[in-house]
Amino acid sequence: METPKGHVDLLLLAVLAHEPAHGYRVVESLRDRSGGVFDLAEGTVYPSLYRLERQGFVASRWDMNDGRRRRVYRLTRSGRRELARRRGAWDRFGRAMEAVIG
Amino acid sequence: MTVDAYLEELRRRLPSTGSRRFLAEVDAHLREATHAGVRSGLDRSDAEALAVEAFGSADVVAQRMWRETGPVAVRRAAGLALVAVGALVMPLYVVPENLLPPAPWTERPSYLSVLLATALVTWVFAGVHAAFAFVAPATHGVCALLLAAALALIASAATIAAGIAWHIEAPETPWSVTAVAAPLALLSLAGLVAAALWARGRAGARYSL
Repeated sequence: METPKGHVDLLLLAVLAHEPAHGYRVVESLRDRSGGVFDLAEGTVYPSLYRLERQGFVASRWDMNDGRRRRVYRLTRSGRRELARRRGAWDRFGRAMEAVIG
Repeated sequence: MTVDAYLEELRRRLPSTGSRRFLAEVDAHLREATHAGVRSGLDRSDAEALAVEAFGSADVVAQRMWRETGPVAVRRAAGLALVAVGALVMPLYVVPENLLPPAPWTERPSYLSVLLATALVTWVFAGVHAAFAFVAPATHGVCALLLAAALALIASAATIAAGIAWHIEAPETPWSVTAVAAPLALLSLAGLVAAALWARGRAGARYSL
């Protein structure tokens, strides 16, 4: 199933709120937590991460672990506020959909 | 396709400058995915092919990456170049006017004063736009910045041309200001050319601004 367009940022913020992660781990986490429903083309996650970083919602740094160098992303304080705002909007949307389609 | 071949394909599609971090991330991502495939029992070449396939077409990835990072980076470079050039050129207009003793030579013609004032105003205008573009690249339009830069360049060029004409008409006027202006103008030009080349590099071979 394709990820709902426009909600990738919300999904990424939610994943990173759980724990800081590098790109590959973000994709894995999205897939695992959605039970395999959100199986993105992995390369398309990076433009979204870069956008979120530019907007100040996410910060990143290189990290060495197990002899491997990875860029690890974490949520910033304003990213947490943005996540709360988007969650609220999503809840309202979900309730409205539920009310209409029963 | 192997990971190395995919990285090479992606590198060719990305802008020649500013893509190092992304390529390093893709490299790490694909090695990680390959490692996971090998752990799950695939042989190495199958694991690499699967990792590359899951990552997505190099063409699509490069296009999306450019859409996100390209215009902002170009705007930032143009903004920085304009601020630097403005900071270099501005004293030329201000210092001789206010700090030097009264000139013993021919009074400066009024049209030159008007041109100088116009150039000064357009440089301030471009400088303000450049500063905004640098501080808030996500919200500042690149068109406004380019327009401001173009106006400033036209006004400056007209002023320099008029200044030279004035020197030719009144040979007793000193060339000292021109002697100062020439290297600064060259520096300005070098800055703009560097910004343009950098922007072209960002645009890469396949994508236009």
